[in-house]
Order: sequence, then structure tokens, then C-alpha cells
Amino acid sequence: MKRPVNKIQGLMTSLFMFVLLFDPGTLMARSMHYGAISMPGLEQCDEMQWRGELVQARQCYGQLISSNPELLVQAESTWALGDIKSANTLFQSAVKADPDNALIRLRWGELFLQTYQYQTAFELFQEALLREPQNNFAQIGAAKALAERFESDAKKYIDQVMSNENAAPGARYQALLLLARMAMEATEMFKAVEILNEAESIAMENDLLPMEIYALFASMDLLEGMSDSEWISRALDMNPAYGDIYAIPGYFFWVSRRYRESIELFGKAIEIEPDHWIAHMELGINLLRDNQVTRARQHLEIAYGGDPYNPKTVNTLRLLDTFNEYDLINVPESPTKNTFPRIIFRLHNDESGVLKPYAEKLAERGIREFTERYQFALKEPVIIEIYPNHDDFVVRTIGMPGVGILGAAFGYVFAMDSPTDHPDKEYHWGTTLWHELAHVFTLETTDHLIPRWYSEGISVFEEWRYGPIKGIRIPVNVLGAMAEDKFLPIAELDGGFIRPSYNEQVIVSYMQAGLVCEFITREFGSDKIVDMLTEFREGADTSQAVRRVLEIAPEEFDERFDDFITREFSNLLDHLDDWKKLHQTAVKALAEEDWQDALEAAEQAVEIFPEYVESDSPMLFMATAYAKLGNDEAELNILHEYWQQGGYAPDAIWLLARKFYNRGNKSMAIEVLDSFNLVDPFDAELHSTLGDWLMEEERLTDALVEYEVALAMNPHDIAAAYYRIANVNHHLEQFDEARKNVLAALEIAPHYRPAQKLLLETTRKQ
Amino acid sequence: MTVSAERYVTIIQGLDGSQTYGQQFTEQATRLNIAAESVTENSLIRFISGEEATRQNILDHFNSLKSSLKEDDRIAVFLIGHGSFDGYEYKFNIPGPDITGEDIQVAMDALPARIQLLVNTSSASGAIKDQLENENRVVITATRNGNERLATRFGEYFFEAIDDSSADINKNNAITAQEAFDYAERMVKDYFEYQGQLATEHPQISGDYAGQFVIARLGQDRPVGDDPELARLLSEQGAIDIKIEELQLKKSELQQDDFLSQLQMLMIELSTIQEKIDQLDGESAQ
Repeated sequence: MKRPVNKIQGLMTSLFMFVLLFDPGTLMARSMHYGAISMPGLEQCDEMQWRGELVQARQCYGQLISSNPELLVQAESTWALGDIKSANTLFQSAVKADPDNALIRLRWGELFLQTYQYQTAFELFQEALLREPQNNFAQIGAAKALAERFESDAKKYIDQVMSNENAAPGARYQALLLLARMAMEATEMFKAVEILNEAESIAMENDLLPMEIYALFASMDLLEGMSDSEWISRALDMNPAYGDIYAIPGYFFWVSRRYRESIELFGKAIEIEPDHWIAHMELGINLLRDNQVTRARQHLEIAYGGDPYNPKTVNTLRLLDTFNEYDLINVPESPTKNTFPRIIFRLHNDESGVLKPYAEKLAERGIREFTERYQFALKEPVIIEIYPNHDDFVVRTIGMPGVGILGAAFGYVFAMDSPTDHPDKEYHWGTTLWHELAHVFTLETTDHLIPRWYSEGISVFEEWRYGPIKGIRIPVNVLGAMAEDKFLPIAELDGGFIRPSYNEQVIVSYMQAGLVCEFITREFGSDKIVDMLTEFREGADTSQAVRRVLEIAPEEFDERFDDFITREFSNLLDHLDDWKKLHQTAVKALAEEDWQDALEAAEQAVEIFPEYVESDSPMLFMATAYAKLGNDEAELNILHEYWQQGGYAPDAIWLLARKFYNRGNKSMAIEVLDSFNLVDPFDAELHSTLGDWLMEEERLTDALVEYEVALAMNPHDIAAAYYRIANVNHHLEQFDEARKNVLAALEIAPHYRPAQKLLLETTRKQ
Repeated sequence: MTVSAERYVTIIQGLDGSQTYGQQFTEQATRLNIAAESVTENSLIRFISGEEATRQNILDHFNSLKSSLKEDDRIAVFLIGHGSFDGYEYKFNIPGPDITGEDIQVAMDALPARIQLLVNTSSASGAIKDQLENENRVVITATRNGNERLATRFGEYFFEAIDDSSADINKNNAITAQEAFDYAERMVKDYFEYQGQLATEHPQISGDYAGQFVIARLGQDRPVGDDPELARLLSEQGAIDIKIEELQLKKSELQQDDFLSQLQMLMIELSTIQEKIDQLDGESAQ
């Protein structure tokens, strides 16, 4: 449910300083290694640990430390007892003492993996592979480090293990577990079952602990809707304290966006394994996704107490520490008895006065329209969080900073970037709000069973059809992918979001999903969009939904969709190279002040691709050329067209609004300028100008909003800001408000004559 | 017969270095000249620019001021142009040898006028802040120190403030050095924030009299002359001003409603008096 940006945003660091590794720590469970290390004494202790005999295991490791001086054994035992800092020092010494030993580096890499230092872990696995190129455990370690960062190269290392017939069984077993997880994440459950069956055979043949297999099988059962799974009891029979039997399903419910079920599962995990710090952390983060802030903090603090290295825990706790800087605003402010607010905003207190009026207006419209369009009435308030710092928003979303997304919906809660973190003014925050609000409806109407592609598709389709800036806008790089026939079959479209195989596949998949919804609406009717939602709520997969609702096979759907794309885009795709050349020609001509040539090239470019309204749109080149050639009428017309197509470059919008105003077309001037509130409402001049124009048109209530926002921006001339509000209050016969505001102006500027006159007038009327 | 205190204004426009800056500096100086005329007589305003703005001419001008100025007079000095700082010495760029920070300090220290204002909008101007400041001299610089060496935006905003009513925070139709500084400082900050850039200048102000040092008037108040009615009204107005100040000092001790009702009462009195003054103005204009 994450709305991506088409390019990586410049990310500002804020409160997120990554935790330093290797502070003194408390007990952290050392994960199962499946035979990666085989040393006298250690195996027995490990067996106790992994079968849940924790007291005996502690004693065993303790005795091993005092009896076995080998540095690697010391390091492993110390790690198992939870002293990560000492374990690291011991690994360091072991490497110094035996620099050519691949095993030590491999195990040290595992320690880094467990403490979330994936890059360092990867480097250590690479060092191990330099020493032993065929070390399968190092290969699988590298794969795990890369998979944690969702890097597709992970597959390469897994393949190295799988293609090696002589691979160590424990390594092959781990490779299969990884493959099974990946298949499950891509919702390829049949494939996952096959892989797990093979893994189970290996486990049985080699006496490897099978609990992780059980947890994955249990995940599948629960995802299919079973209330319990025999795999759970089988795992608990082997180790009654095996929290992962619930935490692993919890993870799969989380990645399937079924946050409430994941809360329940992580809760069960910590019931049987109270020291499962990751389960506490995940529980906390998922509680936050359900807006249960107090409970979330409790579990995150427990997680931090047990595992202070986890950056997700630390980042999320730091974010929570800033929540007191946010205003919680109910809409309506005082709901009537037995009703809940429709919307709850969590807005930074520096920004709430500015963002709230516009966010509320847009969200209210969205709720009204979505309720009707998707035939779903909200059962809870929608919680909208807008973060002035991008990394705060990303931590709110996934616990870690540094990801280029703009918004994320978790159900009734969604979070997004504020425009203040986008000084380039290329971020249309109103569109993001509309996109995420659509997710609220598609997630909730399907009980979160909607496939990712369809939820994103509807949100993109919503942007194009009904959002604040209408029109299908396909980025040029996506057109390139379209020309190269990179769209996926509909049954596989989810894969484009979850495990992209090339750099731009996620954005390509967003656009494809939006176009699929456009295609369904045009070819089959808009009611089919809703019918598909119903099918997903009933548990259908994409192929089933297509067959049942559209009454065609997915393969036929793909063919017809392909025809649709050809019909709609072949002309553009055929001339895309021409468009690029014309664009370049126009840029060059503008630089050389050759206005006529610039105009001609830009005009031809617009004819080919009129929907292109980025900040370097040829329409803007035309406007510049017309201005230089003194053709005011044509300049206004092309700017108007640019705006109507969804362009929102600040200078162009201001210019267009002023041109309308100067020609006396105040209503258009107002409409154009007002649209800019969904791009950059933190432009102080916008509100005073818009307020003045609205006053001239006697749209007093709207003017009041603008003047109040202007005041919320803490303007330099506060007295004048209060006076303007008081003046509108007075015109609206809100005399008490007028009196308060005019006194606020006069308190700052007692000799402010317009305010003095207004005070006398107001009090005389009262 | 008492001689009233005079307000002297000296404007020095330095080298521009480019046509763009030349145009900007000239516009700023022109605005300042007009503003200066609203607070003092033309004869007390001296504008030195172009080839005339040599070190010798400037120092000669300050020398001549020594004999003209009295202790109760006020002097405002404005430097518009580029400055530089080599880590040791600040220089304001003019034709021929530059004028240094030390030159300015010696010249201004020698002036008999007790209340002084120096506005230096040049790059690196912060370098002279410490050596020039004292409690009777308001020193305004565009930068925090001499290391902020890029051409500044501060001057543009400072001189924009002197004829912009939104800079007149207390709406008394007069722009003080403090008000112009506050306006320009805010605009500089907003500019860099809006551009998403790190600020390359941080304006500074020091001295006790910035809030009382009027550098421009936005409207012309009617002179009291020998109109006893106007004098009486102004006196009443002054008395209410004091009451308002006293009420504001007590604000934290009062309930909000009490404060507002007392404020309202005083503001109505003040506004009514102003209405009467306006009526008198109307009658005299007829």
C-alpha cells in the first residue's frame, strides 16, 4: 500500500541515528545454524537451547566457556548467552588468530546478521567465500543478508547452493527455507509447498530441526483461513517455547497487510516466548498500524530492553517520542452521541493549521465518493497522519528510514509525507492523500484480502479519474517499458510489486495496475470493479476473480488488455523518440532565445504527447515563447491547457492565476490558485492573495479559511492577519469572533487605524 | 529658544561588480533616499555613490559631520554594496582603496551624535559587528561574520521594508530599524527555506535603540501646531497608550476574559479619540 516516487527522493536525515552495534546487551537468542558449525560440546548445548530447555542450555554454555579455550567456541557460547559485545570481541580475536579460517568469518557474519548489520554481514560472508569459494553456508549467509534488503541478487547465492549436488544438507535446507519464504511472499503457495516438502525430507534424512518448516506450513494454513493448524502443535511438542511458530505466521499476515491478525499472532508468540524481542517489536509496530499507540509503546520498550540493537525498535521509539509534537484533530470536532469522528488527523503542530482545512475538505469529498463508488460504509474513523519529515513517515511505515515512498495505508490508518519535506514543489500531496484514502476503502471492503496490484491499481485509477488532478499520466520511463512489452500477465502482476526483477518494475507495475482498472471500467463497466472487490473479499485469487466477474480466462484478459494498450498508446509509443527529439530542440531553441523555433518544436511535441505535464512540459516552453513573442492570449490559453491537463509547476500556476485575475476572470483566477493549495499550502502569499480575491468575489467563508491559514503560518505582519480575519468575521456577522480578532490585532498594534475603525463598528453593531 | 535634535542620514553606495547588482544597489539607494526624506530634511541627507564614493571623500564627509552634529542629533549610516574579509580586515568595496572596518569605526566614534545607526548590507559585513557595536549605536549587518562572503539578499529585503506597511508591525506608520531588520531577517530565512538551501547569510542586530530609531514614515501625521483641541486629544491618546502598556504588563495575572474586556475598553477609548483626530483632520482639509 505504498505509493512510490518515480525517482529517489533526496532524503533528509532527522532523528534517525542508527544504533551503534555492540553495546552491552541482554540475552538474545542465537538462531539455529543447521550444522554450519560442528564443535565438541557446542552441539549438545545448542540442542538443549533449540528444544526449549533454556535453563539447562545456559548452564551448558557456561560450562563450555570455562572448559573450552578455543576462541570460536568461546565466541559462540558467549553469543548464545546473550553477551553480543564480548562475542564480537572474541570473533575478532579468532579472526586475528586464524585469518584464513572461513568458518570464523561465516559465523561472525551470522552475528552481524542477527544484529541487523546486513552490509557488514554480507562482507564477512564474501570474505569467507574468498577463502572457501564453495562454502555453502557462506553462500546462504550472503543470500540471507541480501534478502533482508530485498535485493534480487539473493537468488544468485541460493542458486549456487541449490545447483551444487554436494551442498551441505544444512545449507541446502536453509536455501529451501529461503526459497519457500520468497514463494510465500509472492503468494505462490503451491510452489512453496513443494519446496517445503523437499526441505522436510532433507530435515528428516539429516536430523535437522524442522520447526521452521512447521511454522511456514502453519502460516499457509492460517492464511487460507483455518483457525488452527496441526503444524503449530507439532512444533510446540518439540519446543514449547518456540515463539516463531506464531511469529513467522505473524510476519506473513503483516506482509499480506492483515495487520490485526498479525497483532494476534505476535501476541501469541510472546505468550510462549516472552523473550522473543523481535515479536515484541513487530507487535509494537503492527499495533501502531492499528493506531494502538500506548500498547505499541509498551511492547517496543520491552523489545528495546531485550534487544537494544534493533534499529526498527529504536527508530520507532524515537518517532513515538515526537508524537507529543503532533495535534490530534477529530472531524467532526464533537461527534454526536453514539457516533465516532469520520476522520482523525495526526498533524505536526507546526503544520496543522495550514494542512487541516485542505486535507479535511479533500478527505471528506473522498469519503463521500468512495463510500458510494465502492459501496462500503466506513466502520471506524479514518486516521490520517502527515509527517513533515520524510524519514519519520518511512519509520512510521516500516520502522526504517531511507525508502522513496510518499504514502502508506494500513487499513483505517494511513500516513504520508507533508509537502514541507519537498521543497522542489514537485510533490502533489493532495493526490497522495486521494491515493491512500482509496486504499482505506479497498482494504477494508475486502477485509484486507485484496491483492496488492488491485489495491494499487484502484488507487492509481482513482488519481486519474477522480483525484485532484485528473488525467492519465504515464511517466516516460514507464512508456519505455510499455514499448518493450514489459507488462506482466494479470495473474502475475503482484510479483512486479513484491519482488521486482528490474529497477523500475515497481512504478511500471503501478501504472499497469492503474491501466488494468481503466481497461476494466471502459470494456466491462465500472460495476465490475466493485464486483472484483467482492470476489477478493470472498477469498478469490486474481485468476478466479477475472474468470468469475469478467467471465473470461486470464489469458484472454491479457490479450484484450494488450489490444487496449496498443489502441491507446501505439501512436504515442511510435513517436516517443520524435517527442524526445522535439523536446530537446525546444530546450535548445529556448536557451538560444530563438522563440519561434522553440514554439514550433514544442507545439509538435505537445501534439504527440499532450498528457506530459511535468515541470519541463513543452506546454510551458510554448508559454515562454508566446510571452517573448508578445502573444498574451496564446500564452494564457496554453497555460490554461497545461493546468487542465494536471500541470502544477508553481510559476506557471501563479502566472495563469494572475493572468485570469488581470483580465477580470476572478472565478477562474481563484480556481487555479486554490488548486495550488494541494501542492504548496505553505506559500504565505498564496493565502493572502487568494483571501483577497475571494473577498472581492464576496466568497466570505472561503476567504476566512485562507486568512486563518495565513495566520496559522505565523506571518510577519500578525496584526494585519488578525485584522483580515476580523473583517471577514464582521461581514459574516460573527461579531463576537470579530471583536476577539480585532482586539488581537490592536493588542499588537494599538494605533492600527483600520482595526480601530472595525472595533468601533463592531461594538456599535453589538 | 531650544534647538530641536536633527536626524542625519548618510548613504554610501559602493562598487557593484556587475550590471545586475548595480541596478539592485541603485534601486535600494533610491528607495532609501525617498524614505530618508520622510524622516528628515533633504539638506541632512548625503548620498555618496559612483566615482564620488572614494575613501577620501567618505572620510571627508564624516569629518564635516563632526562639526555639524550635536550630541542630541541622530545619525544613520547605510552601506550598500559588496564587502570582503580576508580573515583579518573587513573592506567595503569602493572605487580606489577600499574603506575598512577600522575606518568606519574611527569615523563613527568621532561623531558627537550619541544615538547612531549603522546598516551594512554587504557580504562579509558581520566582520565589523563586534568592533562597531555599543549600547548607543545600533549596528545591523547582513551576515553573522566575515566568513559569510556570498552576495547577500538582506539588503533587498531591508530596503523593501522601508516602504512596506507589512513591515510596520505596530501600525504606527513609522518603520524603525528594528522593524526593517525583523522583516528582512524573516524574508532571508524564508527565502533559503523555500529554496531548500542552506542559508549563506545570517543577519545580525545589536544596540539598545533599534526600536526607537525611525528610518521611514509611511504616512504624514498632521503637525500639532497651535491647535489646542488636537493637542488635548493627542495628550489623551498618550495617556491611554500608557494604560494599554500597563495592562499588557499585567496580562499574565489576569483571566483572559478580564484582560480582553479591559483591553476592549481602552481600545475603544483610543479608537474614539483617533476618530476625533481624523475628524479634525477632515475639517482642516476642507
